[in-house]
Amino acid sequence: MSTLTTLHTEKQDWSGLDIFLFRTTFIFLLLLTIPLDPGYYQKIFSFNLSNLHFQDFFQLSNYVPRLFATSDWGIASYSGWGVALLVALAGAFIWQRMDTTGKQDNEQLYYWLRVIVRYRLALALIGYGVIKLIPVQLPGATLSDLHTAYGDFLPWKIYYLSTGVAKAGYEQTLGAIEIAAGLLLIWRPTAVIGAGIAAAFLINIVLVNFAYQLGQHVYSVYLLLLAAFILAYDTPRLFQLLVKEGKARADHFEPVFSKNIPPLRYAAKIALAVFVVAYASLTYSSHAKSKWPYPDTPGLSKAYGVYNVKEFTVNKKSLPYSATDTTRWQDVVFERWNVLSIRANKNFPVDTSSPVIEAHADAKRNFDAEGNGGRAFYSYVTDKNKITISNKYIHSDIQVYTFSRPDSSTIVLDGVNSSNDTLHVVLERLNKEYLLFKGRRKPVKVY
Amino acid sequence: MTALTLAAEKPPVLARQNNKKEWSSAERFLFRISFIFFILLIIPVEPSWYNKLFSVKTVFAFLNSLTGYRVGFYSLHSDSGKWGLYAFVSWGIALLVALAGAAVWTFLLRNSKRKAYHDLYYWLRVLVRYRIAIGIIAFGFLKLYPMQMPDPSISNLDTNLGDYNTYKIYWQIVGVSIWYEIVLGLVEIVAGLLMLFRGTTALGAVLVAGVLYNIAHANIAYDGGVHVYSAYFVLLSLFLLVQYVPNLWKLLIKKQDVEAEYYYPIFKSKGAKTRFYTAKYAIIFVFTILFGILRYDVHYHVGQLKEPKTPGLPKAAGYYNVTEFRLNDKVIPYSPLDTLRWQSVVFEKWSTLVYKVYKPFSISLANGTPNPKDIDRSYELAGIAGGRKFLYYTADLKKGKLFLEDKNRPSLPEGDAPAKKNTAISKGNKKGKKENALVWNFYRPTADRIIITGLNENKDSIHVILDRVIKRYPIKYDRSHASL
Repeated sequence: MSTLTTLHTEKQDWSGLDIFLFRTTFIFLLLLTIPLDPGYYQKIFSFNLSNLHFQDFFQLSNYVPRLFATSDWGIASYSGWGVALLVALAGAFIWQRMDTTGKQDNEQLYYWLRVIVRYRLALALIGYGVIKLIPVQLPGATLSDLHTAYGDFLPWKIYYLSTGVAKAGYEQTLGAIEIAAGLLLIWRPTAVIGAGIAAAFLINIVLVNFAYQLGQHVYSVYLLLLAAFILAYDTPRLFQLLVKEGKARADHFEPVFSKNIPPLRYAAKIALAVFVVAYASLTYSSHAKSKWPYPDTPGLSKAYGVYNVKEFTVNKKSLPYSATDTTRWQDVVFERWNVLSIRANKNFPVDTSSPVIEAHADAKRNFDAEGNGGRAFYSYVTDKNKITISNKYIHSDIQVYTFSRPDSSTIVLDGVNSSNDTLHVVLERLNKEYLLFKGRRKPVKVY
Repeated sequence: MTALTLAAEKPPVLARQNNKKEWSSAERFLFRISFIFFILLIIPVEPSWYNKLFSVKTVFAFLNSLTGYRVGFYSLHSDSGKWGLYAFVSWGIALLVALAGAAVWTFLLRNSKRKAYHDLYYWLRVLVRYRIAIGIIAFGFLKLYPMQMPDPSISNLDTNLGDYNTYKIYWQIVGVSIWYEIVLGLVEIVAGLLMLFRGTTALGAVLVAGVLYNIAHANIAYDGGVHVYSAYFVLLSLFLLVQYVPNLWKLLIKKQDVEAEYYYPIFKSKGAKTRFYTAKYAIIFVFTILFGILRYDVHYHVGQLKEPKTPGLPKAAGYYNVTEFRLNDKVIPYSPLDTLRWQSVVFEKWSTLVYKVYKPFSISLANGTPNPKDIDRSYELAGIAGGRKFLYYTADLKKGKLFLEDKNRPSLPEGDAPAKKNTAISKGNKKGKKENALVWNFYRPTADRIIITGLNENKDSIHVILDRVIKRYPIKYDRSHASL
């Protein structure tokens, strides 16, 4: 790539090898960039245009070129790229054979490839930047999370929560940097700066995706590849100026546009501006109005809190507090929304899915359960004094209880659990203070 | 210093290096400010710093002091003075002094014919580059030998997220992935190395500015406490980048061809050149290779670590349920709300025993920095709540005795200082046991059961039966293989 760009900068003719490498790159990057996955279009066309969500805009920006990967993990998750590379090599070979005149303007083609890559990368960066600037991608910890042991989270979840608990606009600043890099990519003179910021940012994102199995290792490597491709164009002159400290030639290339192109360029820029503004405003209004990725349906009134399981009777037999009993609940959390979570002495099956940025109705918002292996999560509906709780991960686990609230801090449940045992449960709210919110600036004494 | 005076007396003559451009009076004034400002930030002026430097006992400690000077003319004793914006007060003082100094300097030289400070600028940049390099390389080694953020201990894995302090969460997440920590260390070392050569300074400065900005902001976001020191490296890197901005602007934005014309000293004699490069490579050797070896030695041989090193009871590491708990011969049933009855016990693989009760404790808000003695190695309890009592112990395996001492000593202002000798636990059967030291008997009827008897801190007798539980922590699951 560097010989190619050096030659280009020096306005020399391209060698046969340069042209072949360029054509391979051209086909390869287009195969990865043009959405070939029908699933992408299905998703796009399923959007309700009269009621668009910010998540829809995100999905628009979020085409992940997995192609036909044989696995979601490891080297096999890039298998589609290997095929794309083979296709690109074959395509470049055929192209080379068919191009008998040699008059094709490779520099113009190279320019257009850069345009496509710049816009693609900008879209992705803005897509992720907006949901950090308006912090919905990595939300703060829920009460259930606060009552989950550190070791009971999957690595991706503890990484998300660790970022989510940051103060001082940390997450927001990360988002602002991504957006700035994206915007710099839109203008040709600043594209190299945007690509530089993006590359630095993406190197870390690639690393943490592997380190914590965040699930976006294919996408992040793809984006890093795009940033490197943009950087490569200006690398020779930067090398001359900064490393050799000698003469550096500026980029004197000017694209030759046919008549129809300039309006198209403006149209593209305006379309992107509209996209950014609409996406950001929808994200903002969702953040203001909605608890997404958590459900919006309010929970039982004034029930928010963590509860000690004071009494627990199974089939009329009272079980005392126990650290070892697998039936007896240990504590229960009522969230502000219609979710409660239960801790007991057993290994709950863990929802191992990766987090997705998709607009879902409350019932399918599983972010609180995803990656949390310490608790069982139930969404619930109440009807007078009846409460029906449905396990968010094990869908067959539905339990119905009658509940009463003898005082403001007590909830009594009577019903049948998923093993058909009759339960009588008395929950008593605990006054719990959290070290997490105490800071470290003053001495802290806390349970 | 010889080279500096030399360069100042004899302006270089070679065309490319002889940047004769004159500076405007504003540029000269700005330079004078920067010069004084950065000298103040880099060269220690407090005598106490030198006293401390020359009172250290090892080569490593000496070098480590050199790499870690933090300017501190004045610190405000307030929240913000330590954790927030006011912590930058020393920078403000340096800037004020620099302004005043530059004004005097300008006044004194009002008739001078000197129109630029290419040589001084060059040497200031050298100073800044080397300051960044030795500081950031020293930081990098902490992660390369991954001990800055140890992986979570058993008791920390068992601690609820809400019972963590934010700063501990920030460090713990890096410790979760040791190879990520090693890569971060490598990046810092490479960035530091890039600082040592002219041609790679720009790239190194970009790297340092990016990485250290992230660290500085995160330290504010999580109360990490080193935001000023990390921001210091950002400031120094940005200063280095200033030189490149005009040319980059012309080359990239205005699309003009440019030719770099930076000043470099020309050595009058071969001897001067030899001295220059000898000094340069001596510094590089000392702060990379030698420092790296010494750092390794200090961690892994001397044992200057955050986590205790002495092995705990053999084959006892793990999480234990408290099957039976007797207090003064009375069985107390398990309860998550009991302030005296233990809920669980963790034996770490080192000599720490942690028991959990439903009771507020003073929380260690220390950094848990490396210490030579196990009892002072407080990383495992730093920023951890949830009713946990962390006890350091020594064991007499023959007699079946444990000698224990509370690791949490919140009275220390900085929290990280080693214990004074008189509070250290008496080793084994030494006489003069402290009042806060506990002596318990233990025996192990089976591999997974430990029975402890003795007096607790209230002098009540306890008899505790512990049974090990094998825990499979989801944080160790590999999503690419494990089916859960």
